[in-house]
Amino acid sequence: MDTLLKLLAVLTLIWGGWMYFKNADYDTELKKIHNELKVAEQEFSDAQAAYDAEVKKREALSGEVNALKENNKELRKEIALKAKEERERAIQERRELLEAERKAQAEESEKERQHRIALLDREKQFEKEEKEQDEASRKEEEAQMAAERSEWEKRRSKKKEEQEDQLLQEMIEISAQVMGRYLASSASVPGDVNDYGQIEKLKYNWTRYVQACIDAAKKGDSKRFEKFGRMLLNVAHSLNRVSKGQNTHCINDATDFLSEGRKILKAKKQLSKDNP
Amino acid sequence: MDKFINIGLIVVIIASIFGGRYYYSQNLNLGLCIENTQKKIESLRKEITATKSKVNTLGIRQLNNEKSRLEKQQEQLKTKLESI
Repeated sequence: MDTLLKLLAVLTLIWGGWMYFKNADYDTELKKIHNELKVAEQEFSDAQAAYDAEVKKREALSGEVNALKENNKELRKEIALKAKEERERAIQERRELLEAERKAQAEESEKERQHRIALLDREKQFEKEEKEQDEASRKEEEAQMAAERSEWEKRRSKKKEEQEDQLLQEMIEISAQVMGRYLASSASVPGDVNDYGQIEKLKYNWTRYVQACIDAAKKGDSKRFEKFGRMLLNVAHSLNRVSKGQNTHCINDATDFLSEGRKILKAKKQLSKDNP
Repeated sequence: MDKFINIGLIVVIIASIFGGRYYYSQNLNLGLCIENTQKKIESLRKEITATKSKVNTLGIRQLNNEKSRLEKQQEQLKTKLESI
């Protein structure tokens, strides 16, 4: 029993002592851990302070950035405004310059127009004078030409008359020759006394038709000439018939007369064609 | 004599039991306290790491770059304004 008590007392004493020493260890460890905690808390507060400082710095930077942005925005506005003003000023200057140029151009064109008008007036005056001179010279020329023409007409008519007279003279001579031949042949016309009146009538007609042919030739009327020429030829045939075929020379004479007359008419026509 | 010794042994035993019990409970509390403190320290260290990493996410460098860019831009704009 004593031994058991002693053993128990020793065991409880050992356990109590062990607990006591362990408690001391725990105390030491707790103190150590508290120190670590303090250090950690200090580090945490430092980190937090640094973070807060960074946040403040960021806010400050953000504020500066925003201020710079605003400032730049204002500067851009100012630049745009100034550029607009500059542009408007340039436009105004250009407008004024253009206006001045336009005015100068208008003045120049007005001067040019006046000059042109003066030139035109001078030209018109010159043309008028020239026209008057031309008109005067033309009138003079016309008068001269008219005088020349009238003179030439006179000469021509005179010449024509002379030619006509000559032709007519020739014709008359031919006619006279024919008439003479006819008269010579008619004197030898045999026949009855009863036929004498008819022969006279035919002779009268012969003379008349010859005269008509001469007049027609004188006038240049070929139609009339041919008409009276045919009638003259009929008279010649009648004379030949009345003389019972003994006066064929009358027909030949009339034919010659007519051919001569035709030649004269042709010459006359040629003359009038050459000298219109 | 033995009786007194036995009584003394019993007292020692009782005192040792109570003392041991007291220190035992103390040790338990201290153990819990140490454990909690260690957890707290650990969480604090995590917080510190998180706070330090949060600083990087603030974008101070970008803001500095932006600021320098805007300052250059401002200079250019001022030059342009003076040139107009």
